[in-house]
Amino acid sequence: MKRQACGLIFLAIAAAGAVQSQSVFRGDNAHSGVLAAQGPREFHRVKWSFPTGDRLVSSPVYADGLIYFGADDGNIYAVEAATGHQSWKHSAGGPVPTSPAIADGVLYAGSYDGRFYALNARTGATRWKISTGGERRFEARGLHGMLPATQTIADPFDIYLSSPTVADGVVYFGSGDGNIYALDAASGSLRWKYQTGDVVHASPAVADGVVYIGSWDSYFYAIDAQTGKLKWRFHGGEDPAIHNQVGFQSSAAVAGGIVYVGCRDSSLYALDAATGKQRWRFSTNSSWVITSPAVHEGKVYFATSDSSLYYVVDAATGQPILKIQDKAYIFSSPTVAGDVVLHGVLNGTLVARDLSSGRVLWQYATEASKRNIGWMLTADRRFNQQMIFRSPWREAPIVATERQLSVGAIFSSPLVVDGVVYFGSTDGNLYALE
Amino acid sequence: MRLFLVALCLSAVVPVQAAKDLGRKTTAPASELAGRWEGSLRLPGEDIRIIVDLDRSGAGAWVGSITLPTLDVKGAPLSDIASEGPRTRFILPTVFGGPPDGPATIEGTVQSSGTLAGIFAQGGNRASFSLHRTGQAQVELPPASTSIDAALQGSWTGDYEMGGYARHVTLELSNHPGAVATAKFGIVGKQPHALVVELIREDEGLLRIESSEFGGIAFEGRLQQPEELRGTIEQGAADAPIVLKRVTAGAQ
Repeated sequence: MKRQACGLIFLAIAAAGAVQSQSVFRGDNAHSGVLAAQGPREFHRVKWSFPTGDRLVSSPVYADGLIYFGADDGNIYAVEAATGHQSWKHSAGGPVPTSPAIADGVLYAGSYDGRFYALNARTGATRWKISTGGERRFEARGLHGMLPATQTIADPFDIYLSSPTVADGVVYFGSGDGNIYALDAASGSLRWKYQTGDVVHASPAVADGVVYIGSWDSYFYAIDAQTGKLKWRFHGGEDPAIHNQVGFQSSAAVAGGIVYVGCRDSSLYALDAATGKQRWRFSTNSSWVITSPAVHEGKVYFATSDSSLYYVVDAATGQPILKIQDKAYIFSSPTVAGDVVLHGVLNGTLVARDLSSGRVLWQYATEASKRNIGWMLTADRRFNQQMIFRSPWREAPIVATERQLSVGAIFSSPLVVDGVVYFGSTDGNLYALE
Repeated sequence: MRLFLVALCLSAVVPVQAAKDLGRKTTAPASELAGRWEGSLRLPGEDIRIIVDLDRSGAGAWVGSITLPTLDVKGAPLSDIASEGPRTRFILPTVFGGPPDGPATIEGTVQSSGTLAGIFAQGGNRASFSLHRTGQAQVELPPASTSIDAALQGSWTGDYEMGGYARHVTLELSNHPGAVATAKFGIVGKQPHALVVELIREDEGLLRIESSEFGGIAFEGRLQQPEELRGTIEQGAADAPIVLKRVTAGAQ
């Protein structure tokens, strides 16, 4: 018990030390999910909304008065936080469903065009760009029970690209070509790359000279940040029948010598950061953990997809502290901002919860979710499965997923700066709420 | 039935046009309900084509089926069809499943203009619809259960593997004088499941048992030897071979 108490104190210190500038996915390089800002405990108004040309699943980041994000319309945007006016946009060759990272005045982001971009964060001018082996979605035969079972089908829920992390002059990210890349941040030259067995769309956490990232090959990797040498790897679950319960889409959080990561095998894992040995496993009973966990003061905050549950578990033991039923799938990673936790829901709702009790403080529903075209939602805002998924055959489930996202789904993880909440929606808007 | 009629009278939401027509005291006889009706469900931002067939069975009860081409539904059964003057109400028991999102219901009124208009309700949402009679009813009746060969009666057990998981099956088949056969259909995986059997048929020696649970599970097979029932277990589009052996008295 005494050892556990020491662990908790250490975790609290580690989390506090991790709080940085909101200029990278999940707030810092260890992906704590904890921001140095107080989230609003009441909703007053939409401060502004910024329209893009396609859905927006990227999680925004902030630096020097600008909100940065990518959009599926193929642009990387910089928008003034105060006004919502566009500062600049840079056209990539394909959708940008990823969070940029900002370091030393440079923005880093990848695109579905298979290129990785470094831009002047103030102007959007290109510093350098490199080509990877190309992007693609995770795919498998008979994926999720789609038919025909002999057909290879791309996963419509492989929604994000890997968001980069910059540490000690090196930018790290995963790629659909199966590699984990380490590039010189100044020049874009390759420091190293590590080949995994499948698509890497999780985002790397970097802590104590180690890169932590999972792949759709069902392995989670710890790689020496300097050399690219494998330190250890951990095997998650497999699902040879329909490939539904396999792969790391969640990005890890590292705190207190433990790596916390969700998995599509319906688990949240706590792994020893030094050895990869499993400390504990929390089972969600057949529901994906796509969200990247937030770790704060000895507690882990995460949520599930199909079962639509918001969880808080003890960081040291994995024992559940809170389990709260939400209305629809949660892919948006919880953000801890002071005594408020914020997350999006795929039914087009942004939820603000009390940190300690999990109680809903306020919610915001996108206009698209209120329009509810074609009854994608039931009256109580659950997904109307029978109306959405009309056939398991051929392209029908893919089309159904696109229809499902017509409600202004919130995949984006909220950012909080100066009491304002920023997030994207599949209705194409970046919202600023206060 | 009385409660149903009260519910119809108290129906809170009636489309404006239907309400106006009710105000004109429409007097369409119930027989005008019979026929094929085609039109649209007016969902927000999307009209869904709908074809409803309603008719009287030989015994005089209403029977019906529904086709929703864009929802991958053809000839699905209607149930609890009730008619009172120009008003009708029925349930779509299978199209949207059971609670909490189903079943969907339709409440409408045959109007003097010859249209059938009203409210479609599903998942707590409500939308108006308007249908026009386009011809005679072409009701599709669901396949009915039958009695089975006496040699099939009794208890059977066997095992199969699907998706890398082994499962154990128990089947108990019984005939009943003057009625269709019944089946108790159990599958034991990680946990035992007693499936609700919706259909048991024997047709030219082929026995088929269907349950809609778990996305649809069926057994189909033939008696190969007096003590062996050989066939397949179907789950969705997957299937696996299975041999069921007769359970003799005293054996498990």
